[in-house]
Amino acid sequence: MSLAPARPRGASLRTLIVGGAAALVLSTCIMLGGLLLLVARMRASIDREASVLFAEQQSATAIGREVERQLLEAAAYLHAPGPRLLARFRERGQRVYDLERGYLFRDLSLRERLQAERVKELHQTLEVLAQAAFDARDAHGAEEHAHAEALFAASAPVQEALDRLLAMREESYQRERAHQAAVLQRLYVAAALTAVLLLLAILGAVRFVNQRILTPIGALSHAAERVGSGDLAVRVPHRADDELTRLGSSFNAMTAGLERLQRELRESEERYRRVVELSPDAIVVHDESGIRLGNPEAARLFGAPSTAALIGTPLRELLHPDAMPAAPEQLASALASGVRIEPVELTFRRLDGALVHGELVAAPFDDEGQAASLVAVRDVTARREAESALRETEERLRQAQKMETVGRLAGGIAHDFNNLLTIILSHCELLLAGLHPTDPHRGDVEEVRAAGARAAALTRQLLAFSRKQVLQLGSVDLNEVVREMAVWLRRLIPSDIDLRVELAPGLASVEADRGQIEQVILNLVLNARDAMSSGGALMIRTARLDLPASPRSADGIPAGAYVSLSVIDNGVGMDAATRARIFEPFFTTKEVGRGTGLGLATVLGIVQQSGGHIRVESEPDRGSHFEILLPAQPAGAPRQAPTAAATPESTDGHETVLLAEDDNAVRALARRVLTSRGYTVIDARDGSAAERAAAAYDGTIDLLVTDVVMPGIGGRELARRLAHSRPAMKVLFTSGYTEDEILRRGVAGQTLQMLEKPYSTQALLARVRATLDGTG
Amino acid sequence: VQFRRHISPVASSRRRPHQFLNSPARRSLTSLLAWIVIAATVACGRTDTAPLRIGVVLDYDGLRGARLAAADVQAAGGIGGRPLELVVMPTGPATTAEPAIRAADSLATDPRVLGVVGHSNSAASLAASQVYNARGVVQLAPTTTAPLFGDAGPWSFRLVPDDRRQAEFIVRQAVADGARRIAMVYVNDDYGRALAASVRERLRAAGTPPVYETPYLETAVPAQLAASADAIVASQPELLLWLGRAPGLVKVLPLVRARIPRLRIYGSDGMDVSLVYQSTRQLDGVRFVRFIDPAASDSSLQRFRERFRAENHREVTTDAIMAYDATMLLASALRAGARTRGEVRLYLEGLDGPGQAYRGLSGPIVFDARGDVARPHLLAEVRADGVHAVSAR
Repeated sequence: MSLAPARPRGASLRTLIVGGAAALVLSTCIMLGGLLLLVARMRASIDREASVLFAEQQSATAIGREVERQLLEAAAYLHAPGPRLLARFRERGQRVYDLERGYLFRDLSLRERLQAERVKELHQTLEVLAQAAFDARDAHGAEEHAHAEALFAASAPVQEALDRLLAMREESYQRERAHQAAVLQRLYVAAALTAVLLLLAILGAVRFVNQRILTPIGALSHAAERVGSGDLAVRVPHRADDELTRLGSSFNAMTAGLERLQRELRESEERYRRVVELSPDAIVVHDESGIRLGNPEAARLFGAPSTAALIGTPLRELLHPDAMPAAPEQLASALASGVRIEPVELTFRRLDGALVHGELVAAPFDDEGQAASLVAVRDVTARREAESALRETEERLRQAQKMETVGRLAGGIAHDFNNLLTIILSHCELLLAGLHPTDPHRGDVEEVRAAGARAAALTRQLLAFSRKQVLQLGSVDLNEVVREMAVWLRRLIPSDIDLRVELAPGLASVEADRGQIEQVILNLVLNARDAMSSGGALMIRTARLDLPASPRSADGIPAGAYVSLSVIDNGVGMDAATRARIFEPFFTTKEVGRGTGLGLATVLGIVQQSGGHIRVESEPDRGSHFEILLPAQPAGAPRQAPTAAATPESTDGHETVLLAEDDNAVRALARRVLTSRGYTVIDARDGSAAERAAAAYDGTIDLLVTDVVMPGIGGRELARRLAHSRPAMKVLFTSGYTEDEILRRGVAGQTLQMLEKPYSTQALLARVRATLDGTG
Repeated sequence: VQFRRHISPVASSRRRPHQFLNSPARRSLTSLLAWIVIAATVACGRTDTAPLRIGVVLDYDGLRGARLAAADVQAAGGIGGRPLELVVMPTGPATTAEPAIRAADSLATDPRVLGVVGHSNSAASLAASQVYNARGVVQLAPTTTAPLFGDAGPWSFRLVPDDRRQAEFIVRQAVADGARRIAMVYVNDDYGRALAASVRERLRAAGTPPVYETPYLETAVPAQLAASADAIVASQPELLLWLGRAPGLVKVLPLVRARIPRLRIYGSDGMDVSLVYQSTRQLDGVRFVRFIDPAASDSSLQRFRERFRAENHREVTTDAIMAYDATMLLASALRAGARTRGEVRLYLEGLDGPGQAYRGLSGPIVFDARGDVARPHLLAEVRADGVHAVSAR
């Protein structure tokens, strides 16, 4: 609501008051006019009365004339009687009577009425006297003077009475006229006084209205104008206790209220301004000319030095061309026309050239009558990156799950394979031991044993990439490993490949299975060789790497000190799709027959099982860079070489061995082998049976040889239970596969002895003997 | 100058008495008036026993009849316990209007007078009627027959029809009586002139214009009457129409009959006065028009006749009966609650149909638009032993 048009309203009120005064004057004039009309009507009434009087005079004259003519008729009859004269006499008499009757219904005074009746009676007498004269004339044949004289004598009173009546009427008329003239005069005076009084009253009213209404209203209007110009401190002065003063008080209260409202409005605006300015989202008002208003977050998001720098910039110019190839014009049109835009994620190119991801939402905005859009852009760059990281993590998780599945499968297969291979290899050894060196079948058996050995290697590889193999962990110096391997690696690569080794001095050792590390280096070098069919450079490099603590790590490698082992080639390289799948088992880019697809999967499995990480950088035709990061052991950590099982001089023995093996064939083979060397073997087909057998055996059991994985009570639980009753009993675990992480990683440096399946008879005897002797 | 408003059938919206008294507006007005009266009475410290006044301007038998009516009202306990008072004004000479006008002025000036019974003859009633209509006083004329009275105004009522019907009646009787030479004598006032004009017109219409006619005055001296008698005789009439009052005929008739013994005489209703009953020998054979037969068998009328005779030692006349009815009619209006002149007028205007008729000695009284009562004309004949009704033709 606008308070501005106070002056026009004041003017109209003044006009209204002046108009009211004019209306009063007009009313006065009308009243005076009515008065004059009344006067005119009174004058007309006087005139009418005058005309009536004139008519009465005429009537009286007519009466007098008819009476005179009656007398003439009478005289004529008396002179010469005749019926016609008599008839005319009576007709005139009737005419006189009719004229006299005219007075009957007039508004006469008592005197006038009496006089009118007297006129009538005198005329009646006159007629009777005339009739008497006629009768006398008729009776005597001559005029009797006495009757005639009486007749004429009687006529004079009639005329006198008539004149008297007329005089009375004239007198009444004059009296009435004088009365009405006096009334008129009083009316004139009253009208003049009324007009003067009314004019004075009007002047007084105008003065009163001016002083008591217009002036306060003018002050009110002036104050309203000042309020309209923003001066809310203005107050209307109080003068008297009347309605306008109360209106002024109300106005003052209103201005005070307005002041308070304005303050609240300012505070509210400030609050909303802060809401907009401090909004974590970029908020802009956008019309066809571009950005008209923006908050600091908008400046920050779009890389502008200030919000002012954004003004006039169309949002479509900030859009990354790849974000919405077809959208910029549509977006510009929508933002200019002010339509609702549901949340849409866009990529913007900041004014400084950087890319940011933003979620844009817009709503129609009426910017002072001009169609515009209220646009909010939320910076989702971090979210996008997090999502990307999450996707990578998810991918890794998916990969891990896949590897877990493969591992489980491989473990399951390895368990049975290793039992079978143990039987095959052991029986091959038994056969070879029983054959003469020249036996023609010896070659066949050795082929079988070689095939079994390859199967055992394949099984280990499966377990390696699925990180289920049993590690022989130890403190490993990668420089030493590389240096030693470099000698024979050169023989594996063509001469057109330049193998370089770059070793960082003073490199920290890592905890790993040296054999597995060697496998890793071997696989990577062979891959690099295959990628450089046309020759090139291949570098093996070690380094120490300290990854700082970072909330956001692209490759998900936690912070810490690492030892880096890099294998770098400048071969054909890989594209992103290939790069994403290189660690999948059985994924290979090599032709059929040249690769199993397990090399890099095995590398990844070994590295991850060793607590390390792999980073790969590769571009097509630009080579590849595989970097293995293994946690560096703290400086001063003892370097423990993995305990190599010493080969005893004799594998015979007399001790009592409790053999727990769920595979009947393996158990039978082991019993046979051990028994053949003098051991007393108590065999059991599972853990429970072994526990019962131990309980039932009263003698000393020197060694427990137990498979780790058995139905019911496993090897570890069996060893733990029997340790209470037979604390001196030593334990040798055998396994082709185990889920037991402690067994897989904790063998090194522990009292627990582990014999991997498939094992040979010699290996079994040697480990049994070594365990019993305490050298295993 | 204003002429008196004439009553027209439309303008004369006569209310029925019970409607007038029972209508909401009237009840409200009556209640208001009653409260005013009560307040005025209390203020004056008097009980409401003030007499209700009716003016009477009648002479002879008329005044007697009015007084008998007032006595009957008093005998019946008055009007709501209040006595009825007759304000009697002198009538003066019958042929002059001045006493009538002065009497009317006097009565109209007295606000206590709620209505007037009068006057004695048409000339007086007509002259006084303008005073009553100007002042708003009901004038109930018992025997006024002048046609002009019907135009006097809304405050004027009468108990008889006007003379135009009497003229027709009397001419019919005269012609039926076989008279071909008819002389006409009329009193030269508002009554006689108007009646004579109507009779003259009727006679001419009947082919028997008057062989002689002459006006006369009630104040005429014997010489004048003798001259008139000579003229009448000279015209050799078979029948004399006397359109005037009895005293003149009593003086003229011997002079005429002495010379025309077989002259038949028919008088107008002005003849119906006591003088006729007292002069039966002089007026033997004279027939005249009247509105009531006092000797009729109506019991009420018989009782009134006996009572009138007992109290006044004379025979009752039409004037007395009409005056009695007029007085009782105004008393009836007062008894019905009328306490102002206007209420009395409204009461009378309410008597506008057979169902609302006031039943008086003279028969049912119903006013027409001109304030007249239609009633039949009767014919009576004076014989030596009295006045007898004869059949009219």
